Amino acid sequence: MSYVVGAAAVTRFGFEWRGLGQFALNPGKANPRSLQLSTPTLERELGNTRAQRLMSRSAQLAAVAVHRVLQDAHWSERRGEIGYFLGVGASSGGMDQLLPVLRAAITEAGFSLDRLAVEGLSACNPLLTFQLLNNFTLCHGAILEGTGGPNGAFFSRGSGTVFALLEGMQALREGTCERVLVGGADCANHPVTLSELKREGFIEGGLVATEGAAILALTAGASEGLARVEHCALHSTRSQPWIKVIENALAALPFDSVDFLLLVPWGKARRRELSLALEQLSAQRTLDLSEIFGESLAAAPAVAWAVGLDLLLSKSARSVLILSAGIDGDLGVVALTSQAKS
Amino acid sequence: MTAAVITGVGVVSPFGFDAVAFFDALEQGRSAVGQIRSFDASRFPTRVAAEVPIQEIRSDWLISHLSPGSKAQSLVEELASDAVFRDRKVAFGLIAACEAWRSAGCGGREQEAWLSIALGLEQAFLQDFAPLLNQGEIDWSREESSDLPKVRFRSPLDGCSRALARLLELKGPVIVHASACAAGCLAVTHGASLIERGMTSIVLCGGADSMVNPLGIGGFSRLGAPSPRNEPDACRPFDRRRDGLAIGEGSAMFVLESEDRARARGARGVARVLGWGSTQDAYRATAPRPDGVAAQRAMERAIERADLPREAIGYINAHGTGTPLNDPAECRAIHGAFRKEVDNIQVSSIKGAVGHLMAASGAIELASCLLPFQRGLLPGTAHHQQPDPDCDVQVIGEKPIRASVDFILSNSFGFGGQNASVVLGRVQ
Repeated sequence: MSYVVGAAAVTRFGFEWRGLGQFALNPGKANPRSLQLSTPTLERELGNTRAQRLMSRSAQLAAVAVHRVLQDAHWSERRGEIGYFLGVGASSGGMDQLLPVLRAAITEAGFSLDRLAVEGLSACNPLLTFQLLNNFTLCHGAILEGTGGPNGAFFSRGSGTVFALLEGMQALREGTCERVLVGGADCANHPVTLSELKREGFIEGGLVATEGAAILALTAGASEGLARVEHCALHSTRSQPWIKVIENALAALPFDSVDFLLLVPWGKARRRELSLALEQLSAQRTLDLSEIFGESLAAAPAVAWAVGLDLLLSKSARSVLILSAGIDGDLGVVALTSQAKS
Repeated sequence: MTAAVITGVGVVSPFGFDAVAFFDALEQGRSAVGQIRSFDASRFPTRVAAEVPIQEIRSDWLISHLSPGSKAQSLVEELASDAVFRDRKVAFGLIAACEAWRSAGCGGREQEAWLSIALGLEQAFLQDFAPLLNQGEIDWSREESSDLPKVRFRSPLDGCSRALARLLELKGPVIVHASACAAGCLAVTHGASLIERGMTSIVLCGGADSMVNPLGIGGFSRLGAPSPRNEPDACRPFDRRRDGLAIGEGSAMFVLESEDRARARGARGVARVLGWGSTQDAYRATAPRPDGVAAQRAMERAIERADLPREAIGYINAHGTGTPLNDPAECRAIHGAFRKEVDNIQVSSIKGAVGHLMAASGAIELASCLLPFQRGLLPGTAHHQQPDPDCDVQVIGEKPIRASVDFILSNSFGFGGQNASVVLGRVQ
């Protein structure tokens, strides 16, 4: 069994995870179409300006989340033993870093390989590669905070983040580490990612691109933990229709009803499919977090876990089921239950 | 718990398009680093790489390298029309996976397999920005009216895994490992872990990557990682004259099964995946931890998990990049992990021969670890001629050596400090 002993969430609303559940219940007039964290706010929170120059936006979000979750869990000791598994998105190096290269390599006559080779590379930040490599979304935070345990970065178009949780739980189960961080970080509003989402029809289909990072701190045994990860599974939808997949996924749960069902779909099609669960599971209330918070891709399932955790801690619920589905065709199922004594 | 066994292997390497070409070249002690041919690199600071011997990925060529059938033909044609093969690693992954699938004798019953694959950074297509550039700024409103291919600006990171799941009609979940140079090793060990804990009984796993493209080569040049000499012996692992890596490309894929499943369907195992471990240097973005302590811990975990005494390991396939900082740090890690047994263990790196395949490096290096089991040879270290006192381990020279070993350790250390080690065992 895995217990949540701390959390962090960086969303367009700021750096606090406590209160996200309550916000989800009463989103008020928040407009998810226009919001992302302001860059100065993020950079101020991050502090280390030298390290910032090496980081993509996703890495910055993740680094803030790692710092905060370690504080939240009071894990200041023996950080070299802490494991860290993260769902990461597409490369999110700053376009401002790429522009000098493009300006040098592209002339009136078009793109020139020769100019890229000489003038373009001269204009290129030598450390650009560290912004581009996807695994650095995980690594920068690990380096800054000193987490040295088992680790892995999973590319996530929905399910990679759930794999991060599964692998973190497995590391605890096996005793490879006693403490582990799991979550996701991503920027759906990076211009190239946004262009891809448009071409794939997601924006037209109602997907609201945003950014975020969320990380949970887990241990194998914690009588005073914030919550328990009751269940975590990933179900392929390539061999069966969605209705059957949902049916099987719900049948595998250790309970028949939940207080809250949180849905994290990528766009309309997945929303329709996840909604099939409503017919099969008794839930007091259902929230579509992609509608409330926008879609932060690899971060979205982890942000939903943080929302669920807040609902448990604020005693709005004793059990929360989070269903996530990206475009990779797999269904993520995570159940959190309260640790509070009744 | 059930151990995982490799029952199928496929390799696309700078030596050719199947595992036999790869094993033959390693047996002959050849190296594939040479002038870059897939694009005009003549003005780039780095002009050599270990390239897969195909200049341009064409549909007819690719179809001829995949399993015959209308499925492959129609899929490849569709992907080609979307310009998916602008990213070379997609084709490499498909070819290697099909070979692994065939060599394991997989068919319809194996389509329940999970896919655990390491894929490298998205390939950037800088030329696609040309029609969008307006007075030095990107004008995204021009995108729609520009004549650009469907895959534009950059390839999708998971383009290969998506294509592969469709080509082989895989039914299980797809996991894409994005842990840079450690990813190939992690993808295979994750597959073994999934089998060991009973989540599935069969996984198609491995890695595919290519950084042999203008921004890939240029970005690494800017970083100062490749050898500045532009010679065929660019990468000289553990040699006192080493001055950087050689970039490579390719793919290695494996069919991994539970021993029970393999036995039941009469599939022949070629190696067992016995133990693994991963750690983080948590040191610097720009350099490995010099004392090698975190890498040492990854090796120790892998050996411990394999339930072996360290003296059981007969050969170490090192990460061995040929960079000034990596090799001595890895040797310190090996010393720390093996202590007084270090002099009894042969060590080599194949990166002098095939270059650094980045996300796929751990996978192709695992494939090279099958050479001892299949041909009784430990791979050599191409271009290793002058031992370095700072790399004080038993480095195998340029040619392979004949030896019988039962257990092998392979290391993969990623940019950013991710370390992964795996122990393979002979199938008795």
